Amino acid sequence: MRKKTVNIDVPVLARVEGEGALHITVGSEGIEKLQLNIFEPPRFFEKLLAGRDFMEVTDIVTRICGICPVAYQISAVQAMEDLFAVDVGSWVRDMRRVFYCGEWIESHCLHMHLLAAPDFLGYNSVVEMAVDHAEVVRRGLKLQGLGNDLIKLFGARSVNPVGVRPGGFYRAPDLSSVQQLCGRLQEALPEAFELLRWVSTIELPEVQQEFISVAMKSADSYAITHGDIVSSTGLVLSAAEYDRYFVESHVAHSTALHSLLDGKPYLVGPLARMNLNYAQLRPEIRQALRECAVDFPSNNMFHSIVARAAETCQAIMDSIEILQAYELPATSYVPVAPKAGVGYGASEAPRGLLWHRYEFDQQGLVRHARIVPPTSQNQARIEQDIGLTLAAMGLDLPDEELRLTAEKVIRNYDPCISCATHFLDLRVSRS
Amino acid sequence: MNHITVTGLGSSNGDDSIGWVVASCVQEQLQDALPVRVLSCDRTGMEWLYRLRPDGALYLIDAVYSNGVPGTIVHYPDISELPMVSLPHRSSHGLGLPALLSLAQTLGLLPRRVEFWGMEIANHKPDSPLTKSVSQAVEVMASRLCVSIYRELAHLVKH
Repeated sequence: MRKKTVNIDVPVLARVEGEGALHITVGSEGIEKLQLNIFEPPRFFEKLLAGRDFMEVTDIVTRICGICPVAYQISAVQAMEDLFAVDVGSWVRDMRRVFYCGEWIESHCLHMHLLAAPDFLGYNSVVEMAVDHAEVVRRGLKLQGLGNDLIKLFGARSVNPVGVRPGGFYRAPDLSSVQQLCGRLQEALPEAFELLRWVSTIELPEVQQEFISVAMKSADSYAITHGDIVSSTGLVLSAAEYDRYFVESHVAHSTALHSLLDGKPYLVGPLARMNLNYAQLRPEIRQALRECAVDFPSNNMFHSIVARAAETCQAIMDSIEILQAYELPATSYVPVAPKAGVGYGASEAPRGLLWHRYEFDQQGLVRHARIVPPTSQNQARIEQDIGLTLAAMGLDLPDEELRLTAEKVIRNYDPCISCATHFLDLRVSRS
Repeated sequence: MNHITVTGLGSSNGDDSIGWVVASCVQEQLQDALPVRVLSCDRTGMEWLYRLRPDGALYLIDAVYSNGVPGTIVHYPDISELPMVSLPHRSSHGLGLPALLSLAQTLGLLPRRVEFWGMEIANHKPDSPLTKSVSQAVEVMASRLCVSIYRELAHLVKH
């Protein structure tokens, strides 16, 4: 019997502050064992939150992620406002959407240009890619910078912003700053559509897989900050019902929890959203996708990059529409009084559904916090995808090719470990 | 419009904060009206890159750790002379300073002049203060940097 053991080790990961490895054992019948190990050191954020005042929560959770802090803040305030029965009003809801759009633009452009595109175009990094595609990279940087500026507009800074508070924002941006940024968004919109057309010309691997998509869905818009949690299997849930259906468990090979729906892996993120919310996408974007001949729903996981480009267009268009009607409010937040109980919040982080649950006491102190990030929800799906993709391409291929493909699959999900998977170290032993 | 960007790199870990401390000192010493932008960053990310101006000058300030005497000022008027080693696994998205400078050059974003100012440090322990020899060299380094910036401004005015 042929036995081939492939160990892909990631000794130190950036951003996840952890270690990871991919272990694949291939026997005569195919893949016998496949484990994506994430040794992400426990960061104890949920424990750090315990005992803290509700007004401190947004400034703590913003520190969880440097790339998607807005998502953590919005899911958190929604959980609190849910429990405290606060109606923040349309101004706050609209501005939170713009704030969040900034994060989508920034995060998606970072991933498309720095991580995904070099993979698909055969470069080792964006530095190499820029030699042949300088204009593409320049455009990507410009759009990413615009996303960062939107975050800054409401959050004072783009990394770990501090503008959000329960009930609204600490301050409202002045009209001239809003108008100036709105003008830049309008100017950049054609470039976002050029980006969409460009990614659709990239020759992507044709790998068709069956998988469950999970995302938020809203009747009135492409869901970002509010909506039901829905699945391609027909599930429709409120945030409060989430943990009745989605079960997190600890697996020995990873410190990050695995999450399953009915015992099965599922997908969250841009492709899941596009698969479930295509009809809510703006007509101009649907038209552009038809012209690009990329159809959604899609079972090709590599269409995630096209989904990211389409969502970038959506985020810019939504931001323009909201900011064009901007008026300085009398107050940028409504008063909030805490009460005891449990609140739930969910929103669509760039990488997918981000769910929060908080239990507060009468004084508004956190008794218990639980946070389920998208990367943890996608982990089982990533393992499943690697197995299916490698099996489809042929397990007898050279180890280097297997490693590169496995890396490409992992990065396609834009997990927090994606940057570090550049350094996958392959060791092969055969018997 | 800021033609000169001063970027202090570092962290809050002991002497590793030297980039921030010197950048702050430079800001205090320079007149507000000058077209100089002073930034303190924990890394040079893509956003930083996008804000570079190819027609200007860039001054990078960072800690140096090469077993030299703590407080020693290291100055490279031309950063291409600086022996930089890309340390894998240490930088978000695999783009450390050398890679970013290389990318900036490829994209035509690299300022005409990039100077590196470093200081040999003794420790980078979390929450520890600057060591005495490093602290004593801050003013000297900031003053020398300001002289260089004024010279560059004079050059920009002339041309």
